[in-house]
Amino acid sequence: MLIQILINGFAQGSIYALTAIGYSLIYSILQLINMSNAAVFLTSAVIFYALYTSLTGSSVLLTFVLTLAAAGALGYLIEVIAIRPIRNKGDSNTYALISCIGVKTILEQICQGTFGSEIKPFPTLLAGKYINIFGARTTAIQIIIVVFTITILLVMNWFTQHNRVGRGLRALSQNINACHLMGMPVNKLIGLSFAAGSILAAVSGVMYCMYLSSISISVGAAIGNKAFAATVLGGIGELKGAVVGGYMLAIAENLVSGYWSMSASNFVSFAILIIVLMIKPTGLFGKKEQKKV
Amino acid sequence: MKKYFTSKNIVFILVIISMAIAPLFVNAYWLRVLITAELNMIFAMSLNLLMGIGGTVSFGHAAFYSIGAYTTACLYYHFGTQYSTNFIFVIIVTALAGLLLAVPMSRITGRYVTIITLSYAEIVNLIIKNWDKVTQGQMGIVGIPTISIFGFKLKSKIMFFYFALLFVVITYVMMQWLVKSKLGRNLQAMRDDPIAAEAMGIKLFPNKVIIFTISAIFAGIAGSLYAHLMTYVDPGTFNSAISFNCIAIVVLGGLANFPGTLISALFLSILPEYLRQFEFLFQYRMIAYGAVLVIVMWLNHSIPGEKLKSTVVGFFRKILKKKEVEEVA
Repeated sequence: MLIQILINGFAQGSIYALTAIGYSLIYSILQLINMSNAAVFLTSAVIFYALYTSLTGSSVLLTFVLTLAAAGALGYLIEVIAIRPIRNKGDSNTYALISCIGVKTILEQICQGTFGSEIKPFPTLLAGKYINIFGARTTAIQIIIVVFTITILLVMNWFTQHNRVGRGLRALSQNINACHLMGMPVNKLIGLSFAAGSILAAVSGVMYCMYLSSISISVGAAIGNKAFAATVLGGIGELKGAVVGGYMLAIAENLVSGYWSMSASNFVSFAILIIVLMIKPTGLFGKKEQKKV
Repeated sequence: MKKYFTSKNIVFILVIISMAIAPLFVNAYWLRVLITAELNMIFAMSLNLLMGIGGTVSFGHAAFYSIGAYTTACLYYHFGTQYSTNFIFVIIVTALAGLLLAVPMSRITGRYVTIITLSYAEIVNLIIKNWDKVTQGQMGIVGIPTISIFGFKLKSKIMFFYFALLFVVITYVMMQWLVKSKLGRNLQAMRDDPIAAEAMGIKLFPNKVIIFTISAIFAGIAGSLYAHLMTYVDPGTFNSAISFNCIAIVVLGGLANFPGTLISALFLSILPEYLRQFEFLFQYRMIAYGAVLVIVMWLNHSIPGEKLKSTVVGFFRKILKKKEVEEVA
């Protein structure tokens, strides 16, 4: 029972962690809570569904790659249309936030209009196959999700630490103005970070729907808030914090729903969040900010 | 006299006058839309107190709205009490809810406040969904009667409209008074520079608690009116979209700009309904709503911002000044 719960928690936590990194990446650069991320999560799942059922002749891999490309383009487009004109006008964090809410509304409405509001079956990988790990039934898709997530995390880590572009992103998160002065292509880099965040949201969106093996219009809303909670729990702006926060919340939720009740599991993540923030206001891995007078 | 004819108050009076004569020209459907707009005005003004004056971006203001609505609905459902009684309980319960949210704020500042408010709203919504004995869970509470105060029933929607308008005026006057009071000045000092404010002897935490409580009370009042307007409440209505919509209204109207909030609440409440008539050629009306949000943010001016002030208000100032000159002559 316990091992089963932990395995389920790990699979779900991977989804949270991937989405949370998307929030964290953009927050660390622009101090902006990217509300459109949850809508990208939904949109990419819908794109996957549409491509799979109509165009690509039921090849999961090809559809997946196309979806990721579409999501990346969508993320870049969101930055160009909704964020860049506002960002370049100086101090305007709240304005950018509202703009994100506008984008979220648009995307959700397009999804609802094209997809409809019923629950439809979603293609999954290796359906019905599972292995036993210490007596716990682990489906193939769960293993795929966890392995895929860990691979992406390692790639992200290498990317931000050792790659030229990744180092650029870290520089941006420290001081945007200095980056401008150093002649870095700031606009391109920020667009890129939006594309990367969207691709991560797309991966988790498609994986989550595969995990449920169904898709409905409401998948984005529930995950979005929880992934955001995970981001803050780990310390917003810290990539490893987002990952740890995601896994913690998912495992806690599964423990509560396994041993206590389903309806209580939804409270848990938010209750944990509030308690942790009361004890350590910057989140688990957050660095203490110095107040300047 | 001149003290009361500030630019803001003139805009406010114009809005109220045009609202007051509006029922003469509109049908029942649009009257209902206007009442919703009035509720949004009260709701958004309460959030603007928190955001504009208090400097706290709350993503969970829907929590207080839903608590207000559910307090009224539950009291009616279980005890059959009337609005005048419920009103007092709404104030007490939402004030307590505001206090409860303010407690974790003792150590938390800035961006983390955002997520705390968001989680608070989620928790409140989950409690409403699952506390079946009191709130009827997912089924919601139906058949809430119209408002009656000390036996006097608001029979028609027009009466309801003017009743809500009265609350808009009361809220506005209260807000203006609060901003100018010692509390308001303390809060603005805290918003602009918390450390300097603390050094001047302003205690941050008690002020924060008070502002959350007051803001919660007004949001709760808007919620209780909502319950009576719709005659039913269910947990699905009070999702985070309400909070986001409210933030959009506040930012569009301008932070700490209460007349602006009134105008943008009117605008954003009417716009989605107005777009409904184009549905035959344009199916997705909410896309236009989202696009308007993005485009207005491009312009980077809140609608009734400095420009409107300098044109409309300047015009009225001129008229007033001319009169004064004539009187002297």
